[in-house]
Amino acid sequence: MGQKDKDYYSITYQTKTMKQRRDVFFAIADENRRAILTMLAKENKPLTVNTIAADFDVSRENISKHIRVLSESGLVSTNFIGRENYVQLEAVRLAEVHNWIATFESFWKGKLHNLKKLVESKNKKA
Amino acid sequence: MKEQIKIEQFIEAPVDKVWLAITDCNLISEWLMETNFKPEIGYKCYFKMPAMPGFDGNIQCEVIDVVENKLLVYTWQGGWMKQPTTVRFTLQPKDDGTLLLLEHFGFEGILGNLLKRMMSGGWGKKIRTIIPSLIKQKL
Repeated sequence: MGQKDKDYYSITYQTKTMKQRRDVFFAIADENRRAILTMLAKENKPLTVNTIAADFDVSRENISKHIRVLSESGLVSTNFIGRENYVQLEAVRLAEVHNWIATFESFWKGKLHNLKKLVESKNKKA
Repeated sequence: MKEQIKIEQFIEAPVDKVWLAITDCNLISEWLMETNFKPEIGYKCYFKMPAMPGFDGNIQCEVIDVVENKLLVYTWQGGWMKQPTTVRFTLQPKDDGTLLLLEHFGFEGILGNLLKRMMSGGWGKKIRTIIPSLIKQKL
């Protein structure tokens, strides 16, 4: 990631409203957060915040912050069992991400339909 | 996971008319979205669309390839995309009109790797069963 991208993302992060911060795609735009999701998917079971943090070079506070963003976006849920905070993947939100390209496909289909109507009407007039 | 979008659209008009509609910024604004697009290789432009889930509405583009009446390629990068994706229009005369092929690809770097690993991690089955039920709900 270049410096320009870093600036862009930190600005994005600071100026987004809470609603936008909870956006799934904002949540997965960060490398560490994607790594956390991948780790949870690989283990295929809830992991404690400490277990996750042990795998990263960044501070535990930093990991907690990332987990909060993931949790706000609905991609993970957190549950205290005893004194340990367990993080779990949420399949429904993941399915939305999985479905995202299908959403984009219908976007283009609609737009190309507009294009067809526009060009054909202009062609008939000419 | 589908990683590439490929849509064919037949348009009852000659290729030069279709070409104009996909390269003239005023016409693009009519069917796609507000833009300052110019069909010049290396030209950087924007598309502005209403915000929707997953988008703040701003898309940055750079023109990669222009072959008049035949081929138009530009990059496409929305706010959350770390790497640009690519949009390619291919025009071909067919019968009394134009066969337009739209391809949108390069999603692999953004979601693909993550999802591929998730799919192989035992989540594939869960997601595959959830998606049909989600689609049913939407219907």
